[in-house]
Amino acid sequence: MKLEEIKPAINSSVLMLYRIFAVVTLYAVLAGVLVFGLGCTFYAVSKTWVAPVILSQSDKDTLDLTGRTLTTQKTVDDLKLDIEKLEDTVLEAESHKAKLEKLLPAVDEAIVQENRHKRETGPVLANLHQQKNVDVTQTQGALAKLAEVHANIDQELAAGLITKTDATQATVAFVKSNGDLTDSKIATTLLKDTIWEKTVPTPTDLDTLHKKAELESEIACLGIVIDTARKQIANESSQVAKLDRALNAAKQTPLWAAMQVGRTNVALVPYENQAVVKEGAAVYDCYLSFVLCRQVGTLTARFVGEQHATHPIFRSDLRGFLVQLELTDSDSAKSRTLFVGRKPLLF
Amino acid sequence: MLTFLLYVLALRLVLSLAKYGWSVCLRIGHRKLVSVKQDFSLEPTVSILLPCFNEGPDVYNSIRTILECDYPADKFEVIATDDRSRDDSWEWIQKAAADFPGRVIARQNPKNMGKSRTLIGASHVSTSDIILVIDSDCIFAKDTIRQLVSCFADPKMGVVGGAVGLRNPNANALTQVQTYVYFLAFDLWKTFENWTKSVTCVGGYLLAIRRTLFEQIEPKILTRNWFGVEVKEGEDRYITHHALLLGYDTYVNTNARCWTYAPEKYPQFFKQQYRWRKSGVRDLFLTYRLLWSHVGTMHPNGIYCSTIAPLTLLTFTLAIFVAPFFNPLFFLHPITVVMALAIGAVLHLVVAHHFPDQKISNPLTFAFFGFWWIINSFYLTVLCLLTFDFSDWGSRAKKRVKRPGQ
Repeated sequence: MKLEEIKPAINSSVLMLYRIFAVVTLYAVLAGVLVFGLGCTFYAVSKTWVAPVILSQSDKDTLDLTGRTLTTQKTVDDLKLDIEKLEDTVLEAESHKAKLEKLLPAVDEAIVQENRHKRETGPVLANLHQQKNVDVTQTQGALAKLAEVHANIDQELAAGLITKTDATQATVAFVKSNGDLTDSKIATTLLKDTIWEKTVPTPTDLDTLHKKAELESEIACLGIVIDTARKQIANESSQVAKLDRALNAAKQTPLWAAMQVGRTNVALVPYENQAVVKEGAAVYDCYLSFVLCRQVGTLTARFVGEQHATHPIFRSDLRGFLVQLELTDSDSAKSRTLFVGRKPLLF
Repeated sequence: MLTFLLYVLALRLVLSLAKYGWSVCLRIGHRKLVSVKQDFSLEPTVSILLPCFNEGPDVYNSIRTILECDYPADKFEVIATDDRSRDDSWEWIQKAAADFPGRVIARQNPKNMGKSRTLIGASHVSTSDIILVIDSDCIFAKDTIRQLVSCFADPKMGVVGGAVGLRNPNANALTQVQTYVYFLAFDLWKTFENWTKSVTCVGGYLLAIRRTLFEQIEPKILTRNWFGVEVKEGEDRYITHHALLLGYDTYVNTNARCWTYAPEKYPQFFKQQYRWRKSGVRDLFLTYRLLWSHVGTMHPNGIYCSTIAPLTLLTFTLAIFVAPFFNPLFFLHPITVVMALAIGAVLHLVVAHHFPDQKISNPLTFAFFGFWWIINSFYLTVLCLLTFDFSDWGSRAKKRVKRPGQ
């Protein structure tokens, strides 16, 4: 059989196969275009879809959060311990300062009283000192005259004008008067010392003032210590509050849930679709993107904080938040989209 | 995969920019490189073959304007053949034959035979040195015939074409878009191929060929088939390609101008683009089948234009198929949109400056061009690949009926 003879049959067979292939392919392309267009339109107008995300302990983000949480918690504990120490320090310093502060008025009072006493006794003693000087001068004058008398005693005794007893008594009286004069002079000198002590500052006074200054300095230092400690307490308390808030915020995130539970099913809800988010709302998964759907769980919680992601269909930037899902069919978490509230096309 | 897509698009972009960029350089800086030796004293006999299907009164206007050309009346004739139109085209052809006695030969096929066989039938009536094929809805500049014929001064020149503009550039957004398409396809794109006298497709709206060459190619046209199914469209590209394979030069003289109606409705436009694309895809297969025949016969630039350039279109089609799976809005990326608008703005300025009659009123319609470009690449190529067993007249399925004298 020649090739030319069987060529029409070959051509016919090839054509038939080609036409079958062409029809199938063209309809497939058309169907594809139609489905693609419908899909794009659907996701452009749908307000019920969410994009599921599976979180687990081994996720990089979860591990990262675990590390950061532990570090933050340790910092909080360290700060709290430090605050306690500082508070004890403040208490002790305040107690000590109070005691010193009580001492300070007593010192002042003592100084005042001392000064007042000096002011009172000083002038009196000065007057007495003057009188004493006068007395001494007069006594010296009297004793000078007495000395003349005393010089005649022996002559008068020898002359028998006076008795020996009288002479002895006169001599004793003279010596006693000289002794009294000397005592008066000593008393005058001592009085002068006393007056000096009462009228000019003495080393004792300066020592007292020095001690007072030291006391005041110590009180001031304690004040600074207390103030600094209080500021540090305030600062560290603020840090603790912030870190606590951060930890609390972290505990509200799905990653925390993943950290605690192990595997968590969450879903990103675009802001445009947030109206459907209600705790307890039914979650649906579809066999063919958005048709042939079944309930696969419920929405259990809404997490705070904005999330950024890529649109599962259009691959554009997406902003929204995460919700926690409780899925009866864990494979649904692997779907590209899920639907919340109701089936997207009612079937 | 996204990287692959980007590479494909980048390749397409680079090749297109290189080709158009080089064309612009040639047009602006080295016009002599893209021109051929012309002898305007040359006056061979010319038979103008006008195949017609459902063109209505346009065929009459076409005959009238070609007859008004500045060329000796005794040196050219019009052979108008009606391929059993479903409208009044045959009556308009008969009216033309009556109005221009001795200059128009009116013919009608015994049955609808397609454009290729209609042309061959008409060529058998002709005895002229040059055969000039025109579209039946075109009108012509007065020097069109002379511009075309003058290029045959070089004996190696086998096929010469002209540039086509639109008669309805501002009819609607669709025709405005096509103004750019025509400029790119029939004017700028050809410059790159004119550079080496290896134009891969001289359009059937205005195609002049040596009679001897046409007769050499005629048997091949008649036996064109795809697994036994006769191929009726794309004869212009087929003729040009075989002229190149036979060692002749092919050239488009952009000074030879004609104007045609662009489809104003989407189905017509789709059919037209489908017909053009299919002839291109068919030709690509022919090229690869006869690849070794090209080597040594055609200029390397011609081989490049026949083999590599169309291939980028296919790879781009592949890219368009794959892109939605990764990013449905891939082609709406701001860079893509801005680039398309920028190209549109440049095209608008160039067209408005060089072809004032083609200036469009709303340059923003280029945005539609970008959209069409995606649809075109996405679906048309696939459709063509899967409908090789089907041929028809394309966009001329149905026309308005206006009787002669109305």
